Amino acid sequence: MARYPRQSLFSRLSNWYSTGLILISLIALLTTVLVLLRPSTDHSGTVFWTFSRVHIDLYRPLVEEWNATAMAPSDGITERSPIVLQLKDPAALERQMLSGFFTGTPVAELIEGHSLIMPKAWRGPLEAVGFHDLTPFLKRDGLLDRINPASFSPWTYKGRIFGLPRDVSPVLLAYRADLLEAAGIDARSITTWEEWMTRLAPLVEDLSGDGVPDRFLLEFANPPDGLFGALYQQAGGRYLDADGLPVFNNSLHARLMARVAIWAARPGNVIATVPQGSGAGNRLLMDGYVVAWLQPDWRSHLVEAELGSLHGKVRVMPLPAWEPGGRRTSVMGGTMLGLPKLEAETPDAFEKRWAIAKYLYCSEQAASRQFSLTNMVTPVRDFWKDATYDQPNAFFSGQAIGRMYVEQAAHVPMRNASPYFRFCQVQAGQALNKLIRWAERTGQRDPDILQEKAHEFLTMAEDHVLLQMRRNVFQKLPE
Amino acid sequence: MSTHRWTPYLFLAPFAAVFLTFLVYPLIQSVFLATQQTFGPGFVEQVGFDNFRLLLQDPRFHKAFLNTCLFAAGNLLLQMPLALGLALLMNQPWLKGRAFYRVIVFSPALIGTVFVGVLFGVIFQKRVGLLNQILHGFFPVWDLEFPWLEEFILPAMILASLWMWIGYNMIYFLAALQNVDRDLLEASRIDGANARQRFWHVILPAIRPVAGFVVLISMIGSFQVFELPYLMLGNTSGPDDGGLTIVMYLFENGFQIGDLGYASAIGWVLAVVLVFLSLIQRRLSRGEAYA
Repeated sequence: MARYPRQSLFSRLSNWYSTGLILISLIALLTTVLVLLRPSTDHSGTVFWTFSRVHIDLYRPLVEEWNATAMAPSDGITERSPIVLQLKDPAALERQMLSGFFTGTPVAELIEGHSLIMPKAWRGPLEAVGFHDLTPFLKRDGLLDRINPASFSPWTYKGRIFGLPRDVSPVLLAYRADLLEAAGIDARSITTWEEWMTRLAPLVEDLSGDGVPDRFLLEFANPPDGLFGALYQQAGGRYLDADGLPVFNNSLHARLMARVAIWAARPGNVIATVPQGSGAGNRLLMDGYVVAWLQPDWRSHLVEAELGSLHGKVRVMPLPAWEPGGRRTSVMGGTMLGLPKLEAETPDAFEKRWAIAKYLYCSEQAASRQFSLTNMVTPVRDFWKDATYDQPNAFFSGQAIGRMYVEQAAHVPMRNASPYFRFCQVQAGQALNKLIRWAERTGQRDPDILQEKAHEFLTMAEDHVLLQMRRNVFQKLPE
Repeated sequence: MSTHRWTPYLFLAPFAAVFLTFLVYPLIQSVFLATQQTFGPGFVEQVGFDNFRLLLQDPRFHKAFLNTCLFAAGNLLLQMPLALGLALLMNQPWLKGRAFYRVIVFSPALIGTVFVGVLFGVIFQKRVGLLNQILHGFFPVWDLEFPWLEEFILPAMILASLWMWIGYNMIYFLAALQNVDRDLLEASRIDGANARQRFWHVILPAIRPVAGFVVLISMIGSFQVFELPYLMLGNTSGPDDGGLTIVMYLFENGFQIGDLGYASAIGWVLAVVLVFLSLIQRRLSRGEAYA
């Protein structure tokens, strides 16, 4: 009987499979083993999801301080639970949060999200909202009176508060003081938008000599929904009524749209689009393409960080009002902290989470650190007298911008927590865009005619919102 | 013997498991979803054909449908002749450095739609955008504020798509051209056919099957367009929904609003449209084959 020479394992395998396939299989095997051997991260404690790296930097020392005394009984709870911070991309946070609410996959004990994410949690029936109703706890601990009422509004749905607000997000007008001073204009004496556009008109200049202006009076956005939404709310405009029905097709909205269309329609525009938050947009701001922009407190921090060459050249002032004596601020953005409902949670365990939420959002050291790191004003009104807000800011020409934001904080308009709020804003923004395009095509600048046209576009926008809302079987809107 | 009987099924099992789990089950589930309104699996309401009925009344869906059809038409009408033209050029023996040019023309397809979307979003911007800057540099009267991404969204999308896919389609045409029967070409030349006649009567009939395939995949790709406008327009559908496509609207409803039922209905309409167009294309190709 013939004996065949003994073959190695590799030789035998290579009779059947290609070298590439063997190599890929070996790599797959090796990486699987490595993943399995990887030490698991210790997540014992209260897991806190946030969407912003800046917020992680903000909370880290507070968390370290909390965790250092984690086992010390205090605050009326039996023991503190250590906090585990986790950063998530906003889209990942949203999906994991909703998956948890819908299907019971694990979610963090504390979830921080912004105003584009969180209202999605209450698109369905009220009983399906995955967050605890915080209203009784806010009442019990006196926070309902201590926190600025407008800050609750984006998180209050059908009379129940589902989030602890982190900010107020008041809006001021930032302007290029150097350019205005060179033109001999004292911006601080300007009190209305109409005055701003009239008195600053000489600043709309053709600097390059090509016959086209290169400098404008206010930063505009495309799509304009967020920016124009802030202006509309400044004037007292609302998107939805108390029953949750859209009410943005109104004469105030149409009037403001007509005004903005006159400012934005080319040729002859005095405001110009800037791609906000991008490198190109920053470049335009540094070049003085626009002399002013709407600046909520959180944006002032970004402006400081990203527009270094404007150090000492920018000042802020309250927004010019729409009418003499009108509101001098508005609101943009917002963040809340929610406590998801957990299965079989004891009241004591809930209190532990609640204590952390209050510590990170409502303690004096958190408020102070929030302002010093991000220029953001706390919604807790009794901390507004803190001297931190009086510190001069060299970037903003030595102004105490904290105090200026605080002075406007109490006047921030109320918002609506409907899951359709953003949809309304987007549709209204589209209506404004149509109006501007129409004004450009027809050359029409008559405010009355534009207002009439604005109504036409707003009617279409509102009909569309209603069409979507009425078919939501969970919302049960009144007729 | 019995081992041999089971062997094919064993080999097919991994594919079948993946196919059934990730394609067949979601497909069946989406049929049910299209007739429901849901807020997670815990809250489900049967709405029958309401989702489809709304599609008929929904002006934004109509806009998305129209935009997608125009994009697909523009894409096909521009891209096919240009890709074929480029392939004919790259197929010329007298052209030096053909391999290099092929790589250059094909390379945008390697970049990925996401990057192309971001890139063209910047290129088409007003004032700071590369295109307006270049045009203004050459022609000082050119308006730096030319609103590519406001007034000319679809042409901008078609241009970006053209830049990205023309090389990819050219490769198919080039492969087809290189398979055209040399003897047939030679015979036509001997018979006195000029270049134009050879193209119309020899080359074009020979590459028709490949052309049909390229048209089909381009059409399907055009109807599924999503990332390109989404990123070019900064995660929006553009002014007056000028860049809204069917898949963008599906994404908006399913993943931004959270209305999976409506999104499923949109998905099924898209699927039906694609099947319909594929059948037409197949019928036309069959006709050509018989001819």
